[in-house]
Amino acid sequence: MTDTDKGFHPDDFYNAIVKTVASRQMTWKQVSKETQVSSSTLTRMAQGRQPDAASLAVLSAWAGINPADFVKQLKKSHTQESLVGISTLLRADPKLKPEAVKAMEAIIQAAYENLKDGKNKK
Amino acid sequence: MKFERGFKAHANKIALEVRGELGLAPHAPLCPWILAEHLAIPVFPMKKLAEEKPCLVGDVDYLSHAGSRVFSAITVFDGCKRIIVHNDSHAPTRQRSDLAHELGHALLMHPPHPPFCSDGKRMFDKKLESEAGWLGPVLLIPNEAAHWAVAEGFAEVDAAQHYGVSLDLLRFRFGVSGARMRRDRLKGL
Repeated sequence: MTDTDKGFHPDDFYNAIVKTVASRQMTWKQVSKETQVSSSTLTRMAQGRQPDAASLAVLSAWAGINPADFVKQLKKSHTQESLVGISTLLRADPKLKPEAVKAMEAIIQAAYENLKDGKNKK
Repeated sequence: MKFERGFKAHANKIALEVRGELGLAPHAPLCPWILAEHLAIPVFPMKKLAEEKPCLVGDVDYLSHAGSRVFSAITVFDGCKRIIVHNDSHAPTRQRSDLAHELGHALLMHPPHPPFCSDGKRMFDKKLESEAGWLGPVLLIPNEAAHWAVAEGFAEVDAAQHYGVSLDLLRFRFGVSGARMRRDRLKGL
């Protein structure tokens, strides 16, 4: 039986991984080595079990797929909050030091709050 | 059969990995039924199937006695999902070995396949069977376990009992892991 905890469909996610492995003509040994996801985790996923959060994230990144696409119960009308998206991009930028990221986040947040509430009067 | 480069090391790594996940030391005995549960793979003793399906009683009885050499264990697929059926009329050491072999297929992510070919014969892929045939015993006695048993001075019979395996399997693992060579060196042979 598929475990659809919180609407996540692990079978569908696993099938997407299987297709990725096949299309890249890789072995599961190579997948395990590249992603550091253990053989037992992959085996459990084949049995319909949900991977742990770290394995889910790593496999999603490795395959270039979005785990949110396998959540079927939530309405997809929720879009990512702007600040979260900006913060994510800044933190992922290897050219920025952590203190620079923090400073830019603070400035952007202040500007966003200002504009959101219509306080900026020119 | 010659394995691809790195396979034996990969097999030993898997054996140590699952032990770690189960909270076991590298040299600790491994219960294949507990491993199956950890991998979320249902395991059905053959006789239990007969209890649930009375129409199988005759067949199970045959495989338990006159035909006991014919059937050890099999993995049945539902899509990608596996269940394992094993012959529980066999000796406990044989059952452990058979189950470890099937779990080896699972951990190596060997692809799903029907149990029989179109001509009714068992589906048998030599490469995959050889790989599982290697990993199964390694799951039961990884290299570290074999060397530990030697270092602790276990007699072969006692080590076989400790790991729940046959003497043949124990001797095989002692040989291929280098543990026997180490033991002989320690004895000054």
